[in-house]
Amino acid sequence: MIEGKQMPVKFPNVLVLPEFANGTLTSDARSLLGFASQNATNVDVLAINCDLPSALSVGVSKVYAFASRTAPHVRAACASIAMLLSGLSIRYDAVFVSGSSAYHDALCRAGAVLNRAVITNVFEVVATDVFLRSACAAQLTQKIRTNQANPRLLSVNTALVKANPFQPAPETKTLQLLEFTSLSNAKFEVVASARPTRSGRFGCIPLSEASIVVAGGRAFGSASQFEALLVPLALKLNAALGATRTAVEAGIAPPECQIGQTGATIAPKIYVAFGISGAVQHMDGVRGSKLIIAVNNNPNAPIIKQSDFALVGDLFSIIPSLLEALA
Amino acid sequence: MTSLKALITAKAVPDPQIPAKVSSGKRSSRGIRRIIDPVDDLNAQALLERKSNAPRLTVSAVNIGTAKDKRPLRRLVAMGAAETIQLRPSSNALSHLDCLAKAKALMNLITSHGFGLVVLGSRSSDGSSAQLGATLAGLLNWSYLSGVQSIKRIDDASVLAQCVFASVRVVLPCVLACALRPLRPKVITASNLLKTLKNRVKVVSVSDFDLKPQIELLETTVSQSPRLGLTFTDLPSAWAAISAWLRESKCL
Repeated sequence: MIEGKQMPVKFPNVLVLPEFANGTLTSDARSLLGFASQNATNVDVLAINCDLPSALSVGVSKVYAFASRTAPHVRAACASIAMLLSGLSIRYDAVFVSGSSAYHDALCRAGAVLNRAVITNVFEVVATDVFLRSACAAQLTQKIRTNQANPRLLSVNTALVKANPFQPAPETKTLQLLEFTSLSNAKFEVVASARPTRSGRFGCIPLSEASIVVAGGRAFGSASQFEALLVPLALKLNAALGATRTAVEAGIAPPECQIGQTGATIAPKIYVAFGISGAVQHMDGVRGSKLIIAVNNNPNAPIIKQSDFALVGDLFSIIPSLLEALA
Repeated sequence: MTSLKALITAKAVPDPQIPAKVSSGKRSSRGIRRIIDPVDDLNAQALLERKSNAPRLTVSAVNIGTAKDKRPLRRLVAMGAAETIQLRPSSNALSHLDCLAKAKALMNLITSHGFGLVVLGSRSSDGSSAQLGATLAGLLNWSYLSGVQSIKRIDDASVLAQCVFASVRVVLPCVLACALRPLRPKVITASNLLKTLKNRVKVVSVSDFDLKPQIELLETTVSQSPRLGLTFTDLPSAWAAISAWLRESKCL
């Protein structure tokens, strides 16, 4: 930063790494691209976990894609992706990833190679060297300034950004194919690969894609109670299933439902918490929600004050009543 | 198993159960006790439990902190850690040290002491940046795995770890970002308690200048916008209020 000189607000050129699911951009990725479009004059994309038609459909000026038959496993190939990213990023003023995506680790690793500290939890760009980021489970906002040379490496808290929806261009102007060889195979071996998820088996949509999330805590007591009560409600509302860490560890809820400090961070339009006390570690994962509704039989539970609407009562009678009303 | 030196990070934080406060543009910890971050504490317990089945595994703990963080670290010795090291910045302040600077300090310690396994918390309760592990692995050029929920086995060459969707074998040396759960309640034995008298926290001074921090904290404010906080005791009233809010806000 040059003392006394106002740094520009928009980056001239940024590189974004959006996540894809089944060939389409995730809602998290669309938020990230909207944020990037708002804060940069030109946005290019490095498309990793998708095929070429999906990469071309993003609608930015330039897309980098891999010339390989199958997309790499992002976590397993983290070191290789980081090396590629560190080389590619020096052409740009900044690189944006979502903090809740698998690319966050690759960006941090690339930062080590480039000797750049990654600026994490960013939700607003004040100037190209000044940012606002969240801290302490999103309780605090920090204004920080960096003295780094370009590229600046930003991990964005998409749950907190206020950006206009991403408007893709009619077509991508340039596609550049990259050769990619994973270097990490010898260091990393998936022993038992992914099982079909319990929540997916019920027909519930993934946490990251849902506008409405219904979540439960240990109060449900057993997996059968959790599934018998929450799954029909989730299906009725076209919602995703969520759970606390204690519920997951007790075997009440599937692991992919975990929300919080050591689970998923979500920002749905509506978050409904049944039998959840509202511990800081869990609420960290839902602070970006537009509306929080809590159902708890303890009027002194911390979540009561942290929600918009709270219903004090027994979830085992409230949920069936809700299902009746929705029917 | 040949001997393996494992290092756990133990971050000292203000008690996360107490809402964060700000005073004069800085976070205020006045009157709030400092504890080991709950995720780090559970990781330490879980790894020290494993030690009972793996006598050649030595577990040490490291903290990057200031003088006021020494006291909570002593419980790690009481839990059975072989040694506890505090890396103390020469300025005796932490707010200006970014994660890359901290990773550089840890890298120097790890290479000088010959550690082969590093276990960090998935995400701390105050910083929440979840970047130290990947940054450290990048500096060391080691394998890295995040989202580890349990460590199934440690042998001479690798670690078998359980994540949400898969079991993964990671070649040593490696860095793991974990949210482990101990299998048994924490036990502090009398002999370990006596060790806290003998094994002091070892303080190692690190030069802030050498770490070259890149991020400057300008100001801190409270960000939590207050929720409506409306409470109901019957479903029809709650339903009516929520429906009215949804209509007015055009949320859906």
